[in-house]
Amino acid sequence: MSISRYSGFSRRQLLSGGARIAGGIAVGGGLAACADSAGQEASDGLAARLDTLTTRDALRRPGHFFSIAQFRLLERISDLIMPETDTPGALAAGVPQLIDRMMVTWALPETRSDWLAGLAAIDARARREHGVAFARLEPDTQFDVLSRHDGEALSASDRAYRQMKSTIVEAYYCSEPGATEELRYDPVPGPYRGCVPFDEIGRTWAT
Amino acid sequence: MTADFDAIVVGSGMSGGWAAKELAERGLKTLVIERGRHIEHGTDYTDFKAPWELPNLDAVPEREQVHYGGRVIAASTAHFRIKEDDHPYSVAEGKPFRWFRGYHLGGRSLMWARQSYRMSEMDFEANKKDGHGNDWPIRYADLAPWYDHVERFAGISGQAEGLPQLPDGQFQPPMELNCVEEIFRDRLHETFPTRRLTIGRCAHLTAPTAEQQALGRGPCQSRSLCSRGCSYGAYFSSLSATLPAARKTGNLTIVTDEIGHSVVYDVATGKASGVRVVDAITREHRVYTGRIIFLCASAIGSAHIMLNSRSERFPTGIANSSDMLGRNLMDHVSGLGAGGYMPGYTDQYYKGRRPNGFYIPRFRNVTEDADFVRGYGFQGGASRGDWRRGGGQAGIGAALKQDLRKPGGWSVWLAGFGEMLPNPDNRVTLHPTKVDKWGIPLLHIDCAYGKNDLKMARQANRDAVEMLQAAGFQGVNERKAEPDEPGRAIHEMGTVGMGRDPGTSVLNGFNQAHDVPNLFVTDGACMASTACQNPSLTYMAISARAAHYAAEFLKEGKI
Ligand SMILES: Cc1cc2nc3c(=O)[nH]c(=O)nc-3n(C[C@H](O)[C@H](O)[C@H](O)COP(=O)(O)OP(=O)(O)OC[C@H]3O[C@@H](n4cnc5c(N)ncnc54)[C@H](O)[C@@H]3O)c2cc1C
Ligand code: SF4
Repeated sequence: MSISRYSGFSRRQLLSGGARIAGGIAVGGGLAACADSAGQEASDGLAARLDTLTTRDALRRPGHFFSIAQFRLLERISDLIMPETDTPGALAAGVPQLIDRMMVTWALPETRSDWLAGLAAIDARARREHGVAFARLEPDTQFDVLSRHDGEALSASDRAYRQMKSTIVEAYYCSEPGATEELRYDPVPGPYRGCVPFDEIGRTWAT
Repeated sequence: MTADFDAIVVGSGMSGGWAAKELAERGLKTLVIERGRHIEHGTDYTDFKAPWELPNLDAVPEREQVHYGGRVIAASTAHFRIKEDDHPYSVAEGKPFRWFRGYHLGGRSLMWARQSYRMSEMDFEANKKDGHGNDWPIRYADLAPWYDHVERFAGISGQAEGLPQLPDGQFQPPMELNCVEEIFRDRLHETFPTRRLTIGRCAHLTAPTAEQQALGRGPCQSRSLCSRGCSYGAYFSSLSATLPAARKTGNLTIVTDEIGHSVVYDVATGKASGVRVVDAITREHRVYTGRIIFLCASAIGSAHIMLNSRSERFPTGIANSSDMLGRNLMDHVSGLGAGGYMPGYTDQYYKGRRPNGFYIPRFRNVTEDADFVRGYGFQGGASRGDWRRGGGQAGIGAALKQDLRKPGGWSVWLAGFGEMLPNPDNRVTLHPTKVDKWGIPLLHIDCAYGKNDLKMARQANRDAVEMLQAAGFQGVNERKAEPDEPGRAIHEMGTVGMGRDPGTSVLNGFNQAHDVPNLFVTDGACMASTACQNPSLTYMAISARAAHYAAEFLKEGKI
């Protein structure tokens, strides 16, 4: 756990950072307050807290599933997994919005809890290792935290994370920029050609 | 008394479409009764939707999965899926059976994987030779011209191979194998000179004929969106081909949302006089009268209607004096096979999504012996991994994106389909007490594999593993040790079997009920054995042939 990083922030900074990131809602303060009591116990409890606090989130957006704080976290994770490079990334492709919509129109309560738990676990890791919410880490640190979380969660067959990652990946490559700019998309290929040098195509087929 | 129609066909799927076409083309006023809803060719399909136009990544909402047996299914194909809780059936304890149905105009001809293979002389002779089941009352020569006929009309793409166990047909140009499949083919032939790998024979147009074009059908575009329905009409279905042809005659009437309840038997004439239906929406009953009746409601569906057609003369179901009605339910032994990957060849790719794979025709008990009777063929395919691997592979960010820009390695799969022996104890009956929404007794299925089936399954796994290893595939694993439960191959057949002897079979060599001369059953129910080939092409040929003879018999005043 990287206490130094955490202790570099004053309580005031944490609160204001929280306020900025979470849109000035009580949630930010609540989480930051918890983060103050650094330590395993507190951070373990956080996952649950993130969940309960945000469900009571006064600023839940009508017609949406994720609270603002959760949605910001989902945006960061989507962006880190599928960033903008020389082609658009998950944000431009609307991945977080699509997932939020799926939670409302598609998911059963168990699946929704999986998603909340998956997000909370990433936040909890940030707090455990750095003492602050994931959203408030520097991008490089976020990348580092999520990379390690990714490796560990996948090798531990963590269902919630596996689902989150594969859905973000799928939502990206099924999006118009993901399919047509990042990969090759051909809606009407015509006769099948069985042996074509890869260089002639250049990228993976989107479908 | 004049009948409402010359001919009534129950069911509009693979067999019913053919029966309707052939009967209508012979000038008979034909009624098709379909229990499911109307589907409009083209406008009711979803094949022009891009991935990003499909909500929820094309998954049916999780709360609706209960209607589909808890399965995750694509929302873009849900219009072809029944809500299974609306259509229950029961199975004998400890004997699971999966009954996979398609209740809509066109039936499962809209849902099938389009693999199309002829049965051979050795298949028609098998029952007689080894004593399992009834001797087929027909031989390959009886069906060969009808295979020609249906292939020319339906359009089957494939490669002639000159194999006695898998007769060649009237093929449109074959699709291509990809590089790794070609390597597999060549190495397989080196190690096992009598085993052959050929491109799948499939009901896709690769060079449409004038007749096919006149029906609005075009060449296959390799999109692999077939399970959504194909607006190009490039694969054969009742909606792309047989029903439009039948409609052209002006002799066709179709009613949808009407459930065939029973065949009405007239004691005075000793013939069937019509079909009783239940309106699926209003639940009203009505009877359509007809001079000949074709049951094409799928193997189990047709048996169901017959079992429910009880009269004083036939207390256990129409045409059941042999007590064979509902018996000899079979499927293919499936779930067998193996998979592996091929290192290298990463500079090779393909263009298009071929809606077809390769086929390894049966070799057991043809060119190689076995400790069981009959045999199996393998379907398979090789392809490179796509972006989906990214969900489970460690790594995030630009590096992950970069990696997924390149396709993954080559992998291959082999899926065996084995011949299941007829066994009269494998049967369907009416449930003694339970009825469905429409008051029709539920169907009860009692079916399990026998010793030969299971022995064959194990050998199919061993052969699959051995072939892949011999060809240099790595990480080769059998798919599973035991076969899937019967029904899973979706090749269910038997139940209203053909035979020479009225004492041990329900239908004769013209698919005509021994007991009721104007009643014909031409779907998979009629099969006296399963062979190991995908069966639908045979149902088509048998339906066309039976329709031809039925029309002749009617004209000659024989029925
Ligand atoms: C996913 C899938 C893949 C397949 N792949 C292949 C393949 O590659 N090759 C192959 O050969 N076969 C394949 N099959 C099997 C093939 O679809 C069937 O063999 C074929 O459709 C059977 O034809 P049928 O006419 O007997 O029945 P269906 O095509 O099922 O048609 C029966 C029709 O009767 C209607 N009906 C049922 N009961 C009643 C009633 N009581 N009253 C009125 N109407 C009724 C149904 O609604 C339906 O429209 C596949 C099937 C599926 C589902
Ligand atoms: S692959 Fe061929 S048959 Fe299938 S949907 Fe595409 S064009 Fe139609």
